[in-house]
Amino acid sequence: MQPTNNTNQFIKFLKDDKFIEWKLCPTDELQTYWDEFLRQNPEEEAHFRLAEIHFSRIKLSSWQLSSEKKRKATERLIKSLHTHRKRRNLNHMVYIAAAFAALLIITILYMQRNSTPSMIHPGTPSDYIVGNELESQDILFMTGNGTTSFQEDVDIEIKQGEKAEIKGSSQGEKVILMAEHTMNKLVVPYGKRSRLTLPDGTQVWLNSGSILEFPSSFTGDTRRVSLSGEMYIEVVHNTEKAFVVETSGFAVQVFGTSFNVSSYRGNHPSVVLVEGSVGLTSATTRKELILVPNEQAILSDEGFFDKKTVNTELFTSWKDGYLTFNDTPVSEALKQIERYYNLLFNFGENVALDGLTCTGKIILSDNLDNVMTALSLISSTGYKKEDKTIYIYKNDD
Amino acid sequence: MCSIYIDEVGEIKGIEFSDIASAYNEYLDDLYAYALHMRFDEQTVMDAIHDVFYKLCTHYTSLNEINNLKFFLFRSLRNRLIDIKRVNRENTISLHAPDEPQEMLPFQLYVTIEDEIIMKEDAEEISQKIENVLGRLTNRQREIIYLRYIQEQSYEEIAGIMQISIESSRNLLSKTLTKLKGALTISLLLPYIH
Repeated sequence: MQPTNNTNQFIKFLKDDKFIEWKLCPTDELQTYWDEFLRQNPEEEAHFRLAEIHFSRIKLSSWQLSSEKKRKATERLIKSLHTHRKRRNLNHMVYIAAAFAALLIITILYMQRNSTPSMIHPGTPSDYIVGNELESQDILFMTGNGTTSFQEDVDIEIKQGEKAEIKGSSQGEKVILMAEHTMNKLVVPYGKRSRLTLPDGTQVWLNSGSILEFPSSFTGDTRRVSLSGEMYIEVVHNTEKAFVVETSGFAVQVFGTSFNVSSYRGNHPSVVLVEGSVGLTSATTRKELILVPNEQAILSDEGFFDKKTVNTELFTSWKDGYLTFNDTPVSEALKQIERYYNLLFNFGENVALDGLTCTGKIILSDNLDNVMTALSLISSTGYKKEDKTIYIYKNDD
Repeated sequence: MCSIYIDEVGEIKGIEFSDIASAYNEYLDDLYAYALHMRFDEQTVMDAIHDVFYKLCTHYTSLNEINNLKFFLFRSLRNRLIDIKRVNRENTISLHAPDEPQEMLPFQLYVTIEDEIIMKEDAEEISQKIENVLGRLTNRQREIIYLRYIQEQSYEEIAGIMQISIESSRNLLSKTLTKLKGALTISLLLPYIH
């Protein structure tokens, strides 16, 4: 096409408001107008069509990103997604470790409801308990020679010669040399568990949110460890060397026995004896107490022991991958689930679940939904999960 | 025991990174331009597009789950931008700010003529005329023109993206006309009235 005066006739259309308007908003009315125009001026058709072509070349939007910026943006997205998936994979591995221990039972016994309706105000925020999944943290193993971190549950065996053998489900075996005559620390965050074999062969199951301090080897005339949180322990029998567990508020002295110690912050510390016998000494009052199997001692704020007979399974089944409840307040059950799965529930001012109890067993499955479903079945509550937030409410059936 | 682990990972594997990267490259320019027309700055725009894709990839396991990806992306980005605008607005006090989130979003189109056959003076005049016409439209009308003629979305899709009824998405353009007609008569008398 030659750019002659004649061919430039199309320009007049481009300068015409009605033409512009028709190109931008082609309504029936304008369509009729231009159809009529072309019918009356057939000689203009060629110029008109040319104007349309040129109009279509006019840009109303011409922003583009440089290829460098595009590349950077893509890299950033892929990086974010990698981080996201890594985190999800990790969470899954933690659950899977728990599932190995938990391929045992599903029993839901019966529901019990014992509510105090006057406490419940429908339509207020206190109708719900809201929980959130928290960021997962690493297990830390601190020795005199440094700190090792693990992203999943571990099984550590302390051998003769200050050697720690690490067995995890995916990292294979690993040996860490510990310094002599130092205390070591195993820190198990919420959402994780660990097993530890002490140098004398004593077996320890450390529950979520616990710290155990222990020496590289047991020298001297007592075997001494210190705990915060919860553990189940099977102490190897040795009358020569008493085994002492120190925890906030009291010490447990044993010769050979199996028991569960719980001393979470904010809860009354307690000991449940499964086998053998243990002696307890309150740190503040120096009160002493001997426990026989199936007894539980709870330390009061004032430093006194309260003793009662219990079903030990309620307190120790977590080590085998399930939780047992018997007329347990729902809030207490939620606390255990909270620690196990690293969630955060907003108890505090919430009264909606006051008076509700639950009875039955919940498998600590790798799928939190299964756990929450089981809980709602045994406690006449309901739950709703949205992304990382869990709402628990009382079921008015 | 190992098989459990593999199954678990397989289940959450999700959208292939290569698929995401190619979809990202394909739509990045269009989404970028769309947001810039709403007068957001480049950093905000890039963050918003990143967030839209991130959410897409963490909520779906395959891009095939989404029928019309381009439509989906435009709508998600627009919603994201409205959220950003709303948060920004809550942090500033304005007496005359409209309450309707729709009205908070400006929409600007810019005329560029790079046509060798059209002389420079002519190009300037044509640009001026088109800009005048666009200037008389509302933000939403300009947005419809953008989605319809530049992004080639149907009225149904436009209605979905802008969250208005299909009726309104059509009517908005015919209202344009009525408004233009009034303006046109005046502009014939006073060519540069604005």
